[in-house]
Amino acid sequence: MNSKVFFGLYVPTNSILHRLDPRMKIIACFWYVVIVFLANNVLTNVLLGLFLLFLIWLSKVSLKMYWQGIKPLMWVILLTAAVQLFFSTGGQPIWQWHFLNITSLGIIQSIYLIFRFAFIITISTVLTVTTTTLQLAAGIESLLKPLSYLKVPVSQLAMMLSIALRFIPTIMDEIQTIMDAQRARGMDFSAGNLFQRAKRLVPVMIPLFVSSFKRADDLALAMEARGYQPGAPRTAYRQLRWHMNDNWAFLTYVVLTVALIVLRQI
Amino acid sequence: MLEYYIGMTKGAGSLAIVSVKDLTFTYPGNSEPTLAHISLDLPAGEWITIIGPNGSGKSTLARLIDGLLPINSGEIYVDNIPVKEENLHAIHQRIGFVFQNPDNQFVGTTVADDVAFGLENHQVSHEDMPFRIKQALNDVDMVPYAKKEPAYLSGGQKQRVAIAGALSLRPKVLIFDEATSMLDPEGRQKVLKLLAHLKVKKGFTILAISHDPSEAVLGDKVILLDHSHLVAYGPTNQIMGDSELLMKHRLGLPFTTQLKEQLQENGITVPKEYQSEEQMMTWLNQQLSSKK
Ligand SMILES: Nc1ncnc2c1ncn2[C@@H]1O[C@H](COP(=O)(O)OP(=O)(O)OP(=O)(O)O)[C@@H](O)[C@H]1O
Ligand SMILES: [Mg+2]
Repeated sequence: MNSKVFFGLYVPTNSILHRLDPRMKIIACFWYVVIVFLANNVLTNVLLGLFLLFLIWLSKVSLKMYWQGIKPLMWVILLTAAVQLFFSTGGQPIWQWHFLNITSLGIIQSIYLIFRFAFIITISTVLTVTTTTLQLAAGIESLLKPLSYLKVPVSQLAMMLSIALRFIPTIMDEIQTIMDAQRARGMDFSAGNLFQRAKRLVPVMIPLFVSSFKRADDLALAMEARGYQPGAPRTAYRQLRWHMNDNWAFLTYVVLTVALIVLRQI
Repeated sequence: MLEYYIGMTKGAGSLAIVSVKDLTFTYPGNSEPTLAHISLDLPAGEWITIIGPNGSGKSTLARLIDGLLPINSGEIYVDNIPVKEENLHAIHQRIGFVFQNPDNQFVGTTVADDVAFGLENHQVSHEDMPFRIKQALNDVDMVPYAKKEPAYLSGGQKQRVAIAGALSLRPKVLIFDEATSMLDPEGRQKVLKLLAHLKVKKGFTILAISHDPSEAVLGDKVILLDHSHLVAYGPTNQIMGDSELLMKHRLGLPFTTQLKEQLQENGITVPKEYQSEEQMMTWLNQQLSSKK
């Protein structure tokens, strides 16, 4: 079963970062992405880079895992940097050909851009290698809780999310079974052009839809029999706990932000 | 239509944990009723099996008892509580329902989370949950799997988790709608053994729906439904030994009943009641030795 694709890159090294509250980690990841855009010079970028290395070291996960997060997006990063490089104006012109030009400012900006991308991808990887999908879902639910005062059905949405996570492996297995059944009848899913291949997926999708509706029906009945009523108050088996370490993590981020703002002025 | 009825004395009520009175049910849009004038009592602490051909209304009856379908006409009482919209929470707590497909009733992302699902719905406090989950998993012999995800469990193990989910709510009645029909022989034997244990040791009332005659003989009583009607309700050995009744309603015969049927065709007089395989062996031995 190929559940790895869907369950992120969680690596159970049980580091100090693994044990932080998922809410702290989600906020921290989000905040880091925000302050990446405040970095405007060499010093601020070095600060953010060093901080990231510190997190990687804390996570006890090998650098290779992080590289695997960046690798598939390498082309996107380089392409965006190239666009930035050739089309930006300002600074000393260095090279020009028709509408393309390279300026000193363009070079600097495209380098920063590459760093920004790498930082953002890596900080998200830090979050996913240290946090299970279940914890992420619980963290998101808890952070969105205030929205329920605006009549947003947060707990129902969270229930939907957790059921989706629960059924992804089951449905992946089912796709495999249906495809094997079709292969046994001589279907070749890998031959032909993109359109032909997509067309061959139709006899896989139809039985999948039919069985998914049946599944949803069964599941709704089973949930009702076990006392589930959408919108009714429920207690929670999994509760998030904010520990002392979460306070330290928070403080670290405050210090990081202050340092960044100071370095921006230099 | 009713060929036998060995019910409870009317009006006594106290011993019946489930009581169905003149129940008629028609699915919206259908012209014919799926259940017509069904009345029966389920005595507390017994194992009752519903048998009947496909489409005879077995699942519909079980769902009506648990309040999963709205009653059109007639009444149902569970533990003396009328099955009605406003009592559904209490009814769902008193009845544990285990369905056919092991995958489609597994709600949680892990075994413990799945058992917790019912407890969360019934607002059991966070502090009490770990103990109740452990207790329920212990009853079905699944404690070592508490942290496992459903993808790592066999069908039989998933069904045992479903039973644990039901047990954690401390119900009085357990309903099994063909809960073993998708399991391999080993998983099925384990689940059936567990049912017998739950009935004898823990005093649960069990209502099981089954297509398999070898499962129907395990209980105390049998309900036979056909064409929306209650055809027979009586002790297992009477109904499961009656090959004429079973064949008339297009049902499979248990092995020993089949054997007796063939002996009878050869002109041998056989006992009328259902006999277990051991009883049949003793009887055959007696016959053979008396012939000598
Ligand atoms: N949701 C529904 N809407 C309309 N008709 C239904 C619905 N569910 C079941 N029926 C019909 O009601 C009848 C009884 O169905 P039910 O599922 O209770 O039978 P069953 O005895 O459990 O059969 P099986 O042995 O196949 O499980 C069938 O004729 C069926 O077509
Ligand atoms: Mg059925």
